[in-house]
Amino acid sequence: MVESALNGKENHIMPRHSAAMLEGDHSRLLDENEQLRTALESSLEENTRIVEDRDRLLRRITVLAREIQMMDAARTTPVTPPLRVHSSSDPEAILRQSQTEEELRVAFEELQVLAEELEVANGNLERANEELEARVLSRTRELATVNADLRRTELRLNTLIEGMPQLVWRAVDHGDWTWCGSQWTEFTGQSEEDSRHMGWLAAIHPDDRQAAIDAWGRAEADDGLSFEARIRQRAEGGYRHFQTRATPVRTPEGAIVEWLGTSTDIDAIIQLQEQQSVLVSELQHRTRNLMAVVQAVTRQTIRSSSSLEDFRRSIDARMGALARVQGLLSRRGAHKVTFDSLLREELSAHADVDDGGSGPQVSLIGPAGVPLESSLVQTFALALHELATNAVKYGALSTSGGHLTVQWDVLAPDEGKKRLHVDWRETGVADMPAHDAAPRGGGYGRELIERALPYQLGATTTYAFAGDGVHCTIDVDVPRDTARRGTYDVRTPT
Amino acid sequence: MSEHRLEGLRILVVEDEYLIADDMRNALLDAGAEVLGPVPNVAAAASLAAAEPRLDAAVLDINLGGAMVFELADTLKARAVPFVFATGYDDSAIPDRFAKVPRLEKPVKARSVLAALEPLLAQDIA
Repeated sequence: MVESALNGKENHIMPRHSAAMLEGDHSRLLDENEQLRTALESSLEENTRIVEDRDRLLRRITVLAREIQMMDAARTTPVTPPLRVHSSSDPEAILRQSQTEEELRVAFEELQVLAEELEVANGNLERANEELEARVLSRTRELATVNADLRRTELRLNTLIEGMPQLVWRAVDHGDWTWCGSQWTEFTGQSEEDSRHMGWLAAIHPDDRQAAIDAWGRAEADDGLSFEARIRQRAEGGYRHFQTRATPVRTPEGAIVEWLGTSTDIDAIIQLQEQQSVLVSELQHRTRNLMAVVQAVTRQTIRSSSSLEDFRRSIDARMGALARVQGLLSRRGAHKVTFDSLLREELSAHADVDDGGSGPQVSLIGPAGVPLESSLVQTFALALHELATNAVKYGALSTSGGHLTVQWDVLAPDEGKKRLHVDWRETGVADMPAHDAAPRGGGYGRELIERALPYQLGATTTYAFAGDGVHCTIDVDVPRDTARRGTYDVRTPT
Repeated sequence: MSEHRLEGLRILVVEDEYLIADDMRNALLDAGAEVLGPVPNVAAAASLAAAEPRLDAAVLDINLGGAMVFELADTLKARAVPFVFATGYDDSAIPDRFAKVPRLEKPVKARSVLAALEPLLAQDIA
C-alpha cells in the first residue's frame, strides 16, 4: 500500500525524506507480520503433532480393543466388560488379556493427556489468531493515518510550490526537464509539455543559451547549478533577468536521482545596479566638472586681483557662492532649482533681506517656482553672486539712498516655449562710471552675464550702466517636462 | 619649456561649461594656438568644423549638456583630425572604437593638453 501510494503520485513533487520515513514504517510492519506468521506456524505444527499423536493412539486403542474382543469370543463366554474376565480358567489367556487391558488403559490415559494438550494448543492457536487480527486492524488504521498525513503534506507542499514567486522545475541530467510548475508556464507562455527535455531553452534569450548549457555541463561536478539568464516574458513580450539555481536529489549511495530547480526574477536588482552605476558615473562627472570650474574661477580671480588680500576676499566669496549652489542642487534632488530660490539664497548672503529676499533696499517681484535648467544653475548662481557683490561694493547697496529691484516673469513668445525674463535694476547710485571706463571689480560679473549665460543655454542678456545704477536683463528658456510644471503660472509677489 | 609649442595650430575646443571652456581657450592661446570656438554643443561644433577647411586638432568634452560627443569624434576621425577627450567620466563611458584616443581627466591641466596633443600632431606631420 505504501508503495502504491508513492507510485500513484509520480506527477507531483514528493519529498524524498518523507518517503524514506514510510519505508521505515513499512519494514517495521513486515517484521511484525513475520513474527506473527512464525508464531502461527509453530502453533499449527504443534496442533498437527498432537492430532497425529491422537490418531496414532486411537488406532492403537482400536487394535487393543479388537484383540480383547477376539480373546473374549474365543472363550465363548458372553460378552462382559473386559475388566471382569479375571475368572478365566486359562491362566495364560488370563495373563495375556490382562496385559492387553493394561496397555489399553495406558493408551486411554495417553489419549486423555493428548486431548488436554490439544485443547491447550487450540486455545493458543485461537489467541494467536485473535492477536493477528487485532494487529492487522491496528496496522490498517495506522496506515490510513499515515496516508492521510501524506496527502496533507503533499497538499501543503503543492500549495507552497504553487505560491512561490520563483519559477519551479525538475530535471534529470544536463538540463533535461521532466516537469515545470505553473509559474513557468504563466510567465513564459510555454506549455508544461513544451518545456520538457531541452524545450525550456526556447524561452531563454538566444545570447544566454550557451551560458545555460555550459552551466549544466559543470553542475554535477559543482554539486549544484547556478547561472544568470534572461527569460522571455509572455505578458510584455520582453525579457527579464533571472537567477537560476538547482540542487541534486541523491540516493543514499550518492547517485543523482534528479534536480530540483528554481529561477528567481532579479531584473529589478539588475536595473538598480545599472542605475547606481549611472549615478556614480554622473557623480564623478559632476565632481570633476566642479573641480575644473573651481580651477577656472581661481585662475580668473588671480588674473583680476590686485593683491593677495584682494584675491583672498574674492576667492572666499566666489567659493562661498559655489558652495551655496551645490547645497541648493543637492537639496532639490530630482527637482529643478527654481530661480527665486537661487536669487534669495544669493541676496541673503550679501544684503539685509528677510526670508522672502526683500529688505529696506531690496524689492523682489515675480512668481515663485520657475525652474532653471540644471546645467545653467551653477553659472547663473555665479553671475547673480557677482551682480550682488558689485551692488554691495559699488552699486545700490553701497549707499543709503540706493535701491535694488529684481523683477521677473515667465513669457511665452512662441507657442509651447517659455522664457524667463529677469530685470535687475539698481537706482539711486550717484557715482556711476562712464560707459567706456574699465569695469570695477574686474568685470567678472559682466563677463558671466554677457558671455557665460548665452554660451551655455542660448540666454539673451543685456548689461548697461544707466543714469543712476546698473541695469541688466536676462532671458532664458524655461525647461519643459518638469515636475513643477504649472506652479509658476500663478503670480505670487514676494 | 617652450611657451608657444602649439604656435599657429588651429584647435577646436568643444566644452559645454563656459568657465572650463574659457579656461581651456586661455591655456591654448597662451601656448600660441589659434582657438576655434569654444562651442558648447554638438550641433555648433559640427557646423563650425564643417565650415573650417583647416583643422589641426580638437579637445572634446564627452558629455555636452546630456548629449554625447562621439558622433563628432567619428567625423573628425574620418577627416584624420587628431583629438583628445577631456572628461569627468571613467573609461567605461567611452566606446571601444576610441580606445586609442588620449583622454584627459578633469580638471584638465593646460600642460597635459599640450602633452597629449603634441605626439598626435608630430605623427600627423610625419
